[in-house]
Amino acid sequence: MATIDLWVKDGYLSTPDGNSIYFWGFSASPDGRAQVPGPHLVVRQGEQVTVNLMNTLPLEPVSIVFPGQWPVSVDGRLARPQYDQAGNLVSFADHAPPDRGVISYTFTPERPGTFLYESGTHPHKQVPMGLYGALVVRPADYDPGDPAHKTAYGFGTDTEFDREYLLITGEIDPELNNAVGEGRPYPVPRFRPRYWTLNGRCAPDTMLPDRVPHLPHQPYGSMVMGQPGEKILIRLAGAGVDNHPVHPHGNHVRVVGADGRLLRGGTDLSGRRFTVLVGAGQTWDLVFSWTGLGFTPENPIPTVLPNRRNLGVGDAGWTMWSGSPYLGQKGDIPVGVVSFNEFGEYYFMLHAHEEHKITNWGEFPGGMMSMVAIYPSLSPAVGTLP
Amino acid sequence: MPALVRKDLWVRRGLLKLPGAQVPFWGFAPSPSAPPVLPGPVITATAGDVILVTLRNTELPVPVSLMFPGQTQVLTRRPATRWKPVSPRYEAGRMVSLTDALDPGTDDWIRYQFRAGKPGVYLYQSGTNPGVQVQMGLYGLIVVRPLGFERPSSPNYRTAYGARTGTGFDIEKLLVLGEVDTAMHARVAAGAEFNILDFAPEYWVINGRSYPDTDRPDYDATLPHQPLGSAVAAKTGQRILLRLVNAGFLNHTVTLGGLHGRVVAEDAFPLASSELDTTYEKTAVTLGAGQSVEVIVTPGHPGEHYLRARDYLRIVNVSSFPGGMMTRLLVTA
Amino acid sequence: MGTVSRRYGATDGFVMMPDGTTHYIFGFVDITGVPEHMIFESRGRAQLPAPLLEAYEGDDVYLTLTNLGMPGRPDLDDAHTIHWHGFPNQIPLWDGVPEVSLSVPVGRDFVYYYRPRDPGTYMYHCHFEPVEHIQMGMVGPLVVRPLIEKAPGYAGRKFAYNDPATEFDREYLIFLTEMDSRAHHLVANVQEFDWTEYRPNYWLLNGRAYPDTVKPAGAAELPAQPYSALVSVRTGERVLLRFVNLGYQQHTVQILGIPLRVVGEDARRLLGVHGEDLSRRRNTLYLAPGQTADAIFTAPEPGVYPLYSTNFHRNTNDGSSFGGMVTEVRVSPRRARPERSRARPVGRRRWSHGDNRPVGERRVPQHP
Repeated sequence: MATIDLWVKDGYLSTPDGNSIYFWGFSASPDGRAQVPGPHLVVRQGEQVTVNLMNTLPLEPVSIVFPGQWPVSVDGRLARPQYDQAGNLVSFADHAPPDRGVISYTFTPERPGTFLYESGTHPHKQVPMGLYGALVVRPADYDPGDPAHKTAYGFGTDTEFDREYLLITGEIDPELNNAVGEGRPYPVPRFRPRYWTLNGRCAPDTMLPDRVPHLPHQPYGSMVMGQPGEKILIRLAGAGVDNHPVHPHGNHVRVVGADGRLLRGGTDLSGRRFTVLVGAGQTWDLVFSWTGLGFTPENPIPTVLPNRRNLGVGDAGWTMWSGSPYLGQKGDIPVGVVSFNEFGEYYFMLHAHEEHKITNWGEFPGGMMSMVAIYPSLSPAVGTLP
Repeated sequence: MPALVRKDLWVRRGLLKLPGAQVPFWGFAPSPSAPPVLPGPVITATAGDVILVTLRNTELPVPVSLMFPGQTQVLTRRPATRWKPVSPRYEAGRMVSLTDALDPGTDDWIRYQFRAGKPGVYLYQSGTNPGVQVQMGLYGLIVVRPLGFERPSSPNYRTAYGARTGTGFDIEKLLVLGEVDTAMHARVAAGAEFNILDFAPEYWVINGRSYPDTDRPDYDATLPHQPLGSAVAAKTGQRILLRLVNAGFLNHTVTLGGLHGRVVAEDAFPLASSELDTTYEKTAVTLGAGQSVEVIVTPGHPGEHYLRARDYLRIVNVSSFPGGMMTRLLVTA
Repeated sequence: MGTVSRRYGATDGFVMMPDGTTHYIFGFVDITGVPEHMIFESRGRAQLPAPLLEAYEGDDVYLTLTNLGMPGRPDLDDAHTIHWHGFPNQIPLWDGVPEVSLSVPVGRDFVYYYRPRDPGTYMYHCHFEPVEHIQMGMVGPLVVRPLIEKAPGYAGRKFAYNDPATEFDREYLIFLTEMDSRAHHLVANVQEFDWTEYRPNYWLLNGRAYPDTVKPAGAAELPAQPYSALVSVRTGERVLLRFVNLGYQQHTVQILGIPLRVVGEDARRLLGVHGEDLSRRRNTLYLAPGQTADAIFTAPEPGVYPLYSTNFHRNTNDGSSFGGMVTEVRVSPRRARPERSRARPVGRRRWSHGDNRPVGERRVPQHP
């Protein structure tokens, strides 16, 4: 049985262009900071989960809904929508009253997969404000020590993986956040995102590691790392209000699951795509693998690499390129360009293909973009969820 | 025996009632004295039937037409012409209507006829200046039943697509999605110009209604132009067939209130046959404009849920929650 | 296996819309085989979309990118790249992302290489400042043909994939993009554009807006938009439509009266692990940016079947309707001579001199 405590708090998000944006988020402890997305929740199929919600917002009730998990109970009865005295719907589930109210939800995930959790109260406001996160349900037979049982959907489901990443998409219109923070009405039809996020961060912050000190409210990075030939499970969850076409460079992904269900009912429907539309409120489980084309210094590329000084290397004085065509090799980088390449690793961009979404308020690079990094060798500790 | 299903539709002006607004609209009416309704009257037929629709317009000063996406070999005629295949209309070499249209003050009527070849839910819409006319309300639904749908001894009895398609159901709900730009409606209804680039809806509707009106019963007396509710009441274990059709211009994502449903048909093509079952489960489905997705939800437990747009900025009426594209699903033991 | 060698120039140019307006673009122009001392005559002659790149699976494809510079923006020294969108296992060197490999400055060349292994419909585009360069028009279609076409018993026939169920008689490209003319105007005038304000006012099929979409390939009045979007077929023919979305919006398109069978998505045949045919039948195709779909239909009775966006507010040219993402499927009777118009010219043509004659060194067998 898992017990998870979530505190609803407020805070300020940081964007790479220097903006600071008021938001509401979940925190995993009474002393912790609000974060977006909320803590990645990882539980096990068949084990009862209790989520205790403490609401520190002074004026707003808050609830959590768990799409794909039902029944959810509160105080031993089914969770139910909440209405005000005039009969207007307030919450899709029992809520924690404002100013230190509490509520407790209990459910038992029946099936493995990737799910969202999000505010069910005034969701037109609370979800864009940051009250969302993801829930990973491990299969009952999950065993990270046994490759055949380190799977997304259970033994024999062809969903084995070597590393896994959870990427949650979202979007931010700072005007909404400012209006909410200042208690002003917000004209909903004027919603216009200026930032698009992966795990609450905009590029290039998406490529930073987890829990960097200067992003205290955005603890999760989105850099996908692995080795050639590995099966990298990418769990994509659409927490925002828009659909986002996510395109990984480097290879097709095999789409194996959607909304917490293996894509194999009567027929195996898993398929390979080079762009996956992450629909609002939906999740997709993708297996990415990069095997390369076999080029090594002994089996060289069939083109002549011209003098680097005749070419553009990097952008604005920096590059993530190694200077070499070959994995694990480093080559010449022209004077004046800084290479952030560590071990001759390969980088493949992963980004929303609605290209205005890879900006920070219009400035490229930014937004919903990260990288898939293929390293010649990599610690097995990289690419794990709690 | 295949039947001839006749339907008469009059294009008429009406007034939509949305929470906090009265909005002029153009709709289809079943008679010249009946109120126009949104969506238009449901045309029901059995696979193999011939559907013959007669369209009349005595109120609007513009050409109007009907088109039938998903149907093939649609024929048309006017009082003085013979049946011929539908075709776009041109003026000065440029298409002005996707299909044959009825001009105001000319013929009394235009007819369209086609064989409803296969079961499913389909839209009918104006094909003339659809960027204006479909938004104004000129859309409706056709439901084609499999043969034997009403015969308990038939394997197709109470199925959406016939035996072995996994589409047997206990409860059926038509959910036609759309959006309403009230400023556009006001301008167009007044005969003023409207720049379609300014299209910016602020009401989000299921069957022409925004929440909380979606929760009202069918044929509610206070909503004479919006006769269809969308609330669902079911018992545990019942198979609820949700027939989602996007009649709007925008793409919409609908969540199933936190429940999983099985997607059994897309664009009126069933996903399962006796050879192959390609159905799959989802908690939310995204519909492109003009698309349909049919989901069977079989709740295993009681509960009160809201089917809703997952773009949460569309479960408001203008700016206020609750509203918009949302309806209640109540499951009792 | 063959070798495909092409040389594309990156430059700028102008496209025309049916309302008589002209818009500044960035783009590519085919300069394969052009003598070195003449390549600069192609400056300012970018086309939209970029030239169709075709290969057979297993071919060695060498694409030389030459940055010809922007005569319309002499101040702009942007580099360019080629990103082959969807080629599996590419190495960063040829993936075209400047932040993680190389880009091509003005006046320089670079050779991109790939040996495609999977037939289907792809796209390519510049990935340098992609928000600007893609919207400005540096986008093109890419088709990889299946080897089954060279197999005994299948020679002379055409297939989308290595699967007899994907055989077709004719193929057409339906390449979806949009244009926000304010952005193009500002870029032309060395001004900043806030890309979060992106609101297109033209919607394009093969670089053209209706009614230009139905004009023939290589129409003289559209020198920078050589590809027609008119689908002209005969009753009973199997027609392959190769859909590409390289805009910034999700699009839904429909052909009134013709259902589609989607046999492939993102250059993968829709097959189950046990070979089950997972083709999707659709009345409306929903395509997100960066996706492709291959759809086959059998041409019905003679007539004109309009193809349009079901996002009806987009079938407009800057507010004037019909326009935008509208074209026609014209079906003629079985025995009639086909119309000459094609979705794209056969082989390679040089539009820069108003010469419609193909000068390509290699003609891929296509329309009968």
